[in-house]
Amino acid sequence: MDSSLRRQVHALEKAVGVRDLRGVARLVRHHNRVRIEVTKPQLLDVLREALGEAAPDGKVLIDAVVRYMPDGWEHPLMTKRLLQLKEEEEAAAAATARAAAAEKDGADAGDMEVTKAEEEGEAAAGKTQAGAEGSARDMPAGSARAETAASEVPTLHASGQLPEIVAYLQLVVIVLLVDAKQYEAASQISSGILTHLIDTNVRSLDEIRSRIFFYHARAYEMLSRSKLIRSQLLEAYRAAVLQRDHSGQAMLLNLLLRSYLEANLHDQADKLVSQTHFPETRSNNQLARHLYYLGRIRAVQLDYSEALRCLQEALRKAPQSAAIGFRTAVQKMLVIVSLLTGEIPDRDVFREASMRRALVPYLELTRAVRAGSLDEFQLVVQARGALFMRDGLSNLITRLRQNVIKTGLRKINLCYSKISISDICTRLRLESSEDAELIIAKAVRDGVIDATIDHTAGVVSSNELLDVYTTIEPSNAFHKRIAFCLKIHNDAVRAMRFPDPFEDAESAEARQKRLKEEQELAFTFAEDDDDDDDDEF
Amino acid sequence: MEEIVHGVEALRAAIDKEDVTTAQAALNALKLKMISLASAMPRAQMTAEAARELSVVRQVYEEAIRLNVLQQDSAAFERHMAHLKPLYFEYASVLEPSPQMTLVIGLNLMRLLAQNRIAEFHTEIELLPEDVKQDPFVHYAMSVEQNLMVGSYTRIIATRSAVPDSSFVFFLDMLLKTIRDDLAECIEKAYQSLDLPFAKQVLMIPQDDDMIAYCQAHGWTLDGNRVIFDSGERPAVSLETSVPTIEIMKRSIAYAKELERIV
Repeated sequence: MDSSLRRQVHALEKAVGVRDLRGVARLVRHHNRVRIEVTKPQLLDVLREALGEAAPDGKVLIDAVVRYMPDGWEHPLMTKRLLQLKEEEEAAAAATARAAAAEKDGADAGDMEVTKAEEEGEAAAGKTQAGAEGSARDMPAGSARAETAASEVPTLHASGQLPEIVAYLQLVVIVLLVDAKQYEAASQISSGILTHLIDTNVRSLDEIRSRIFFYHARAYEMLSRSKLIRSQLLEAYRAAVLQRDHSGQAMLLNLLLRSYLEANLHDQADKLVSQTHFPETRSNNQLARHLYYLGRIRAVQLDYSEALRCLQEALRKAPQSAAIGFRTAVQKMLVIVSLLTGEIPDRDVFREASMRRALVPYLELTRAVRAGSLDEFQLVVQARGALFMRDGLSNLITRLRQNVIKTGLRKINLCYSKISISDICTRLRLESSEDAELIIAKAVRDGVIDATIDHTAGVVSSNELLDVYTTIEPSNAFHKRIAFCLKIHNDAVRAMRFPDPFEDAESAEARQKRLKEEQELAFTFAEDDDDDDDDEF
Repeated sequence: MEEIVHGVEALRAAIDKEDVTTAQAALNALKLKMISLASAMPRAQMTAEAARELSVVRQVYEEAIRLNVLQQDSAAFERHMAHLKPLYFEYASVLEPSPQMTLVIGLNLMRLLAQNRIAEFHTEIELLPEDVKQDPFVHYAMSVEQNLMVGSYTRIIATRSAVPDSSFVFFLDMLLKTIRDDLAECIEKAYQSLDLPFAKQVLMIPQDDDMIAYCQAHGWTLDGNRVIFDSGERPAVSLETSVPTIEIMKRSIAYAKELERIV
């Protein structure tokens, strides 16, 4: 019986055999499809074959799968994908029907439309086919790739001798247990595995180990016991630094930050960040997560401009088509932080289809701040309080109150060249004019408005607006942008890979052999390249 | 262990009598004894006995906090607070909640405000569960912060008579000093001149002599009954100072260098 898991394990065997670290990393990164498609019998099959029931590693895993995996397990994403397939099929059918109808409609007028509809139908059909190929599960010899795979059904002969294979299968089992919401079992297995794995110092295991850590932490978090594994994570982080295991460093640092922030320990999280160095060579996804956590810490510490920068970059680095949950969380935070810096987020932000609904309360909040109306602001905060609390942003939102007042003041200041303090008082619904006077004085000091107060007359007069174009401000703004562009360029140059200087020493023969092996591997990768791992979020 | 329990009683009695020297001596003795407790060791097992010990330790530090307020010693306060925090939050599952906890937390928040450590203030707030935030002591500190941020200084001053606990007064007075300097900065910017009685009222300086000294310290001039702030006339900007030539040159050369590398 052929399955994507089997193929994956086989490819991994090969990659490990030729010490292709990048290949291993890529295979592990693309295990998403395996995770979705694998079924219980297939998993058991592979486990038995690769590890053997007698070996202790194998026994634990097989037991766990037999006991905890529900029979007839189907991954939630799989059902979703099947649904999608069905929809696409229907769309294709509709398109052909439409094309036929249009054809019947006939002659000259419909011409354009026909071709268009046909094209549409073809495109949809093509997609369906591609999708069908993608989910090759239970489709014997359906597509070309399945045929080639079938012609040489991979046998798993290594029988658990490679630690990478063992670790990978352990990872698969843990992931599936977490997916099946068997957190208790997953946490037990992962704890058991990690006690051995933490001491191994093999580069090809790094990627797999860091992932096992992720699901380990995930299982504990779902059991709300993440406090228990904090010291273990710290230990593992230290080991990862000493072993120069970059992917492990990035992953563990993020897991630690998450665990701290989950418990609102911003102080510890800040100290951890200041004492550690986030590895430069890491996946973008890890970087995005790291930036998000950093943004959260900075926002709590009132360093809004830094928080804004981190969050914006996190949003930019996050995968654009997937990880909607992550991006929504970042976006929510971003809206609040930019409001706190005194900026009003663009209207476009709230229009994006995927997170439109989740952002509605934040849109209301933005409106209130923009209008500078305290009443409206209080109303929104009261109505949506529970939701803000759940998002963990209610404390930040309480801080917005002063911004509402400031925005109101600024508006008044721009409209009137001279206005009495008592008028401002009524407009902003402040309690006493004396109070208002000091509030205005503070706003002047903070640079929110540019005005002078005359106490005896009881009026505030705005100073003449300075023409910014006579100052150096535009030049500064341009400089900021230019510096940003240059930085991107330089980063891009640095990120390019240069040929290894030692490669020349390699004999031509060995090189050809290696190239051939790499090509074989590349073939296995190619099909998985599209779906990147958004599960990390 | 029993000694410590008695020691706490003695310490509490001394603090109630406001006898600072006796209390300090008692506290020092207690600290020495506490070192020998089994639960004081790192990675100690959490037994029922250890929980009892920790709750006594917690009492000692809570009394120490009260003593620090009496002594007006905010550095020692901070140190003792650092001991208390893990007892409040990390051991929350093992220990009974302390009746003094909210008072101590409220005081700590006020201390951070008074020392103008707003970022830490917010970090602390994030740690607090929702029901603690509703507590009068904590809520008081939070409302002070809000008024402070907006600039409703008068309201903070008004609350001085309505503090939830007399121990808050120490930090509130400390805070008022911070506020006064803050206000001085504000009025300096916002007004060109101000009549003396109002300035005195705003800055909370009742005595004329003090006010005159304060004005001199800030470089303000007194003209009869008015305080003149010397920020009225902006100095004329000359071309040399308005165009930062060096900066612009530096940038242009940097651009040229970068472009050279790209092309």
